[in-house]
Amino acid sequence: MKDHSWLLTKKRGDHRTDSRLIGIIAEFVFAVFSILAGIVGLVWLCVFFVIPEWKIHQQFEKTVCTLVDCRVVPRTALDNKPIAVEEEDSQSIFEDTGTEKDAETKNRLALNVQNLRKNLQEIYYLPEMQLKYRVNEAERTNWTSNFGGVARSSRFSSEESAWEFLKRWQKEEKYYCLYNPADPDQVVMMRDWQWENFLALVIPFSLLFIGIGMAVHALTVPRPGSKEKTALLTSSRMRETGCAPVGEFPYIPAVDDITDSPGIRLAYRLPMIDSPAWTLCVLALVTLAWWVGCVSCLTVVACSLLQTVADWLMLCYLLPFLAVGVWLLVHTLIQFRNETAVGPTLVEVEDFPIYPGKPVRVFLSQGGELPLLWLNVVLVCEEEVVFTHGTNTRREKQRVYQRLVFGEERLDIAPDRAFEADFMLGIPSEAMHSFISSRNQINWRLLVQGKLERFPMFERSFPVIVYPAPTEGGR
Amino acid sequence: MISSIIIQFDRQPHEFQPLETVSGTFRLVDMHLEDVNRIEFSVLWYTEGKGDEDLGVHYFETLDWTKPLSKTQVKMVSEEDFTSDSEQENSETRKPEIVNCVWAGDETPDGKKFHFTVRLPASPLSYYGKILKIHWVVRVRAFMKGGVREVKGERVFTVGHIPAVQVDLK
Repeated sequence: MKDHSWLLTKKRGDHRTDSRLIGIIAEFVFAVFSILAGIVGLVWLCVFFVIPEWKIHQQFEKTVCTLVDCRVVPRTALDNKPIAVEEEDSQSIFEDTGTEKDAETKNRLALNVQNLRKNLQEIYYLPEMQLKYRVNEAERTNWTSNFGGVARSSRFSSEESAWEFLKRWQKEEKYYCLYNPADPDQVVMMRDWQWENFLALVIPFSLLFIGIGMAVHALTVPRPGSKEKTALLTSSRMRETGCAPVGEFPYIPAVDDITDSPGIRLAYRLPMIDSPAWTLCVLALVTLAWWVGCVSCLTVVACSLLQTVADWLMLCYLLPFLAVGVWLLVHTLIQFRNETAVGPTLVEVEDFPIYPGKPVRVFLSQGGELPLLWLNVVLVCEEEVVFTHGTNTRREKQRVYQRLVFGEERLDIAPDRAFEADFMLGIPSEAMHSFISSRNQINWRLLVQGKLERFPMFERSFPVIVYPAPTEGGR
Repeated sequence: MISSIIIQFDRQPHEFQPLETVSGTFRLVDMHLEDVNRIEFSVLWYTEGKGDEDLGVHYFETLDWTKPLSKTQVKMVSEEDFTSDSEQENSETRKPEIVNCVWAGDETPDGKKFHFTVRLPASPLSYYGKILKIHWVVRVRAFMKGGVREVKGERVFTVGHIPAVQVDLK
């Protein structure tokens, strides 16, 4: 199997057989096109929008003007100068030989010329203002169609809409305008500097960013073709940054959380893996806040509209959203109550590391104020994999081992005294050790499961890091 | 003429324990050495199953077969290679040993022969689970001149004695 650049990387399996070299070339060509498109776009925006806009705001002088008059001027793309297509020219290209085919070609050409002429002569309407202003004590009166910059020249398809546009200014009123000191007849209406116009720059900069990134990747991708070398380089980079599982037992999860945390009764306290319920709780809270915010804003808008126009339709439209907000609130509160009703759970182990076939003593402490219907401790081993499916990344777990290691029913836990228990934990002698790599894991866990009256079942998870059993040849 | 790479271990069956040394030979069959640009030798594990493939390279070496075995390729067992106290006590009496090394051997009628010896790490062990499997392999790639073609040979071996997983949920 050959390796590929990331542009042509395989998704799953060993199905793609493209050349790695072609992949890199394709990536580089794509990068060059992106860079060129970015440069062209950037230059175009600068020449036609950014520089004129900047020039007006930096170089033009501000003054007060009076709006004398308004008008709407019909224009064409050729600025009222339609192209005169010479019939002789078209005939000289396609000489009439008298055949039916020539006649058909000639007709088609005539139709195209007619369409082109129609497009070029299509009328649009340009609103213009006549401004009266003073430059060096000299009064000047000029027409302008520029409302705050080159980019602001407005053109309309109908005369009515152009007049509608001009209604926002009043005749004989005073406004600020900008004139060119080098050519005082050049005048534009004053408008604030609007940063939104520069959002268009995001597009060429994005193209440049993507293109340069891809070009750098294509040029720096390791030349040797094997994925073993790539993997080796990656792992050595990870080692340098301390991310890779290294040491005497590579690819076994880190144990710092366990060895750094001494227990009360036994040597080591196992850290609790964050419950997904808490994550859901936080997500629900964030969603709730967002939802309530949005619905509140819409309600305010609807209510303010009611003062002038009764918008009952919008309020009716908001009702289902309000119902969803209430449901979210109730659900979040229930989730929060379920998580806080159960007291703290502690799990400690006597010895570490834990090896298959070597039992280890475990101490369990379960606090709380409510009586427990039952409390179980289950040892499980799960394979956990991450895979890409199309454009999605999915995670799947497969439980391959499960054994009840402790169980008790009808527990009354006093508020000042947690329930405590000791039991032995044995990993099967031929069991696999814990394993972790980028996308695949084998996890051993102790699950503390219980049930309170009137509450759903709870489950808390504690990682058990299992090492390979000592061997004669090895240790 | 179909070129191939044949890998053989020095012992049968191909089952090793963690920290043991894997040794053997590989031969380039029906391959003109003049046409070979370089050879990559690696001892690695990879995952197979439902998840995307992970790869862990334990040992990797690019061979320039035109040169004889250099002194740097003969590595002595260093202090950190010993883990038990008893071995450290015998450090004075130990003999030079070639570890983690690949070197060119004789030209045989079946093709050019190379030797390898690599000490395995403590983990991971070979594993045959339900949605995840971990395989250890010795893999050799010969890249032909021109950069167009490559010939690959690999031989799977097992590390440890973990039986195939039977789901056990009680």
